[in-house]
Amino acid sequence: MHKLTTIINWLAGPRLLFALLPALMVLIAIGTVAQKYLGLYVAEKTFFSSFVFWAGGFLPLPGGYSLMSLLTLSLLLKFILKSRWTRPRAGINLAHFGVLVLLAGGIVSSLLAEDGSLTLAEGQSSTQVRDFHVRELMLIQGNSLLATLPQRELRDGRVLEFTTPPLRLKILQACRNCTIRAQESEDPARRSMAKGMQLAPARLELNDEANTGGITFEVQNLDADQNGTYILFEDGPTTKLMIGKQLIELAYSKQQRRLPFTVTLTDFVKTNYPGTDTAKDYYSDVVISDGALTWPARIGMNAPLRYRGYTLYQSAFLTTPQGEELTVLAVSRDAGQFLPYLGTILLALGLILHLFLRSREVQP
Amino acid sequence: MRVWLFALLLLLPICAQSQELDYQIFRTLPVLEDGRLKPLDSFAVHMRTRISGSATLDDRPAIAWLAQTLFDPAQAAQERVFYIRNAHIRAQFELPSRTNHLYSLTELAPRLEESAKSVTALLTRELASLTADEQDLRDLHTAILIYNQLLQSFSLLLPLPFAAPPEAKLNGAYTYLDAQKVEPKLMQNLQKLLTPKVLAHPETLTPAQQQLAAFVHDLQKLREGGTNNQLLRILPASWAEQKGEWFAPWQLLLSGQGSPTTQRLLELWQQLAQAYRSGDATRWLQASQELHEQMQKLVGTADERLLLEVLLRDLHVLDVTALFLVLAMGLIASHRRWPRAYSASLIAAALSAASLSTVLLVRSYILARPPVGTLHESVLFVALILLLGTLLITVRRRMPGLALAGQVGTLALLLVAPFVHSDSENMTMLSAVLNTNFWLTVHVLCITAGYGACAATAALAHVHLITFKTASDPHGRLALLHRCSLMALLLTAVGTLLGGVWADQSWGRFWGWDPKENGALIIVLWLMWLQHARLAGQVSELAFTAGMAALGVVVAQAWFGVNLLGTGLHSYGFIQGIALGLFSYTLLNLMLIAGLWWRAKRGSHA
Repeated sequence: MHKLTTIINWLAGPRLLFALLPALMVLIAIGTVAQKYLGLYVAEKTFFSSFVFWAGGFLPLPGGYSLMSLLTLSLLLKFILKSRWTRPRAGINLAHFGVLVLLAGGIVSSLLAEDGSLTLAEGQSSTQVRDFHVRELMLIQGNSLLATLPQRELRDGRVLEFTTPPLRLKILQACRNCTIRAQESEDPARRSMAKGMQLAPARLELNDEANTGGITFEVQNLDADQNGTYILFEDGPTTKLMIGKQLIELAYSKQQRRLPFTVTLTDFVKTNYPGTDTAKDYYSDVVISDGALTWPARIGMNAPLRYRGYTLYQSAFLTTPQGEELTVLAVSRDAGQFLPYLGTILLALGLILHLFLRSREVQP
Repeated sequence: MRVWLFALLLLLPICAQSQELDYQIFRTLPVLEDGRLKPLDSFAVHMRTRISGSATLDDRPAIAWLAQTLFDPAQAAQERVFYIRNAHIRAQFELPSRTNHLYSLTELAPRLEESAKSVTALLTRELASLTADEQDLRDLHTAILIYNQLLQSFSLLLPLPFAAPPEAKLNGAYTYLDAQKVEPKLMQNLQKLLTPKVLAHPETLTPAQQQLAAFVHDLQKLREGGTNNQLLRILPASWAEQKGEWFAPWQLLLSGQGSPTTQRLLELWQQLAQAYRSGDATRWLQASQELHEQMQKLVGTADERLLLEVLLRDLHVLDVTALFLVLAMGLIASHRRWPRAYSASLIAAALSAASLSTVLLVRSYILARPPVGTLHESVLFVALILLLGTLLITVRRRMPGLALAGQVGTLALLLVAPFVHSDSENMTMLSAVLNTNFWLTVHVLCITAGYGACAATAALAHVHLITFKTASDPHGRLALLHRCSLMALLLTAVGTLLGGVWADQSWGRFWGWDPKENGALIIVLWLMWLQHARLAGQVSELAFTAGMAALGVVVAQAWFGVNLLGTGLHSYGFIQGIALGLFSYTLLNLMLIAGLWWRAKRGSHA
């Protein structure tokens, strides 16, 4: 019991905070500079969304998850066990509670939030949201998705056994960003696209969305004509296999999720500053269809649409070589979305209260 | 208000007049550039800076240079306007070495075509992959392109230098607008003339027929030169579907978007050109006035913004701000000899703050948005908050050191401000995501006010470090620093979180570990760390003070340093070329803090 009290006191005490905050600052500084060389996505995963990162490739140091968890625990214990609930301390207690809410929001978001994009041409409808980063291997039969495997599961040398349909694949090489090259030598084991082309790992793009992921794999349990080496790459053609009497398609693309409602783009409007190509404003007029319910809505810059836990934002627009304008809507779902708002209000009120109450005289 | 502004403008010493012509009205005429309506004077300054690297290369004001470029292109081509410091490029163009590095278009012309071929290849490459020589060459060709567009802006209104054939019946000086009326008929004559036999033996053409062919050819070349000439957008659209759009003269003519109104405007511009070329000051003034009146009717209240913009430049309000600051610093330096100097210094500082506020408010009115939307504006706003913050403290407590530190810091920021915009035009329009007055007011003003409060806190901490051994009221001193840092924490923390709320509204996530977000967070964490460490007795009073003094460095890195990375979703405010300055400031300030800390520590031990 004494030991537990000592640990709790240490966790809730100022010494830990005194070490944690500079450690967090150093981590943020390193992770920020690293973005120039690794890109935002990789730097974030390496330094902020990790428990440990390896400095110089050999020295384990605490990552963002470790430091933030410790900070949350320390503040929670301090708030519950050590706070003095007096009027002059009201501001500081409220501010601490605000920080706790913010940290809780961060935890909830990191565990539950998902985001992606929805690209639509005028007149087009869709319920499919493509993840920004997660790629996956899909096994499809007709319109049915039989199985999926995320990119992180597709490691070199790994053998994948599917039961429905019965299929055994061996991943020969997976690359997050692939270069497609011509297959110059003739290899009787190569099938389909792999006869004429091969994938080779390329340097990662700083913008993760610009990477073209792909896999080279071997089919092992079908007939001699179908067993062999295949390739699949993001947004490339599918690989078709006859398994028994079923035609199965293998595809590799960004993970797709289904919205519980349909979005139809009726009009996309972009306004430029006069005499320039610089966008002043752009918005999408859409129709949301949810069962029998249908209604129009506008999604503009800084004016998102929220419905059934999803938030649709005007993210960007594309112009095809044919001149057709496509709108790109970011779609996010975050159960903890309200927490940062609440935390901001509490923290602001707490600091204002503390500043004006002059709660604590300075003790030199 | 418009009348008063105009009267004030006319009362000012006419700095634009180096010749007999009066440019005061001419320079307020509207032109659309970079998505906003601006006075011709601002356009002239921007163009000259883009072409020559500076708006003040000689005694001639930019507006006079522009008038010559537009109305007397033959003479303008002889003017030395291209600043070429790169010796390799000078060698490429076979240019002589000059102390001012200025060269004319005529001097560049002989090697221009050959050089343009190599530039075409450079245009397809990433800017970062170009060598310094290649970048300079590319920049020079961009400047030549801009200059060429300006030179040809009015080529449809100016007398043509080539002789017209007799059948054109164009007697005396004539323009393209006159010639185009007879061009179809001349073209028909030429087509009849150019039989296959004649084309095989063009020498069989008589001199009159050759003149006709040359004339039609020259008209076509002139028209080709006008195609895509969209730089000088001085003519408002007449038709409802193009509301807000403005046209350059050639653009209007070739797109067939003219109307009786634009025709009248073109006539007035032609009168201006004629008056300029003949040096007729009276006619010039009349045409300027009439054109101004016509434009007033078309732009309405925007005219006030144009006048204010010219006045803001003419009155040199930022220079006035700096002068008041220098005066305040001088007075504070002499406060021991002259007791009233302290109060006088505060008055001078207050006048400086009023002057700087005026700049920000007027800019805000001109651009119709809150005062802080760009990095340049944020520097001005932080300077104002620093000055006001230190002024507020020094009015309540007699602290000459803090007054001086605040004034020095403000002056330094004013000196830095011209270097932190990517273009000579510092009144730029904002990208779509930033184009929201609500969030610009709520988040940007809050976070930049926080940076200002941090700067004031750092200034106070520096003063405390300097007087650490001699201060009479150490308890009160620490309490003041604590309150300042709390205010800084409040503004930076709330500003940062409001930024998160904005990001959630526009990008769908509250926090994305973007460099600008991280920079702001580090400031907040720094303040929290020092305050908690002090309260818990983890750091001494001296270390706390030194840490708060270093807040200036933390803010500078978070504010400017992250822009040097050139990465992240906040793809605005990226700048290059300040790395050395930032590094020097960081090093010098940290050395100063370390020195003061060591001195104070030695003193406290003694």
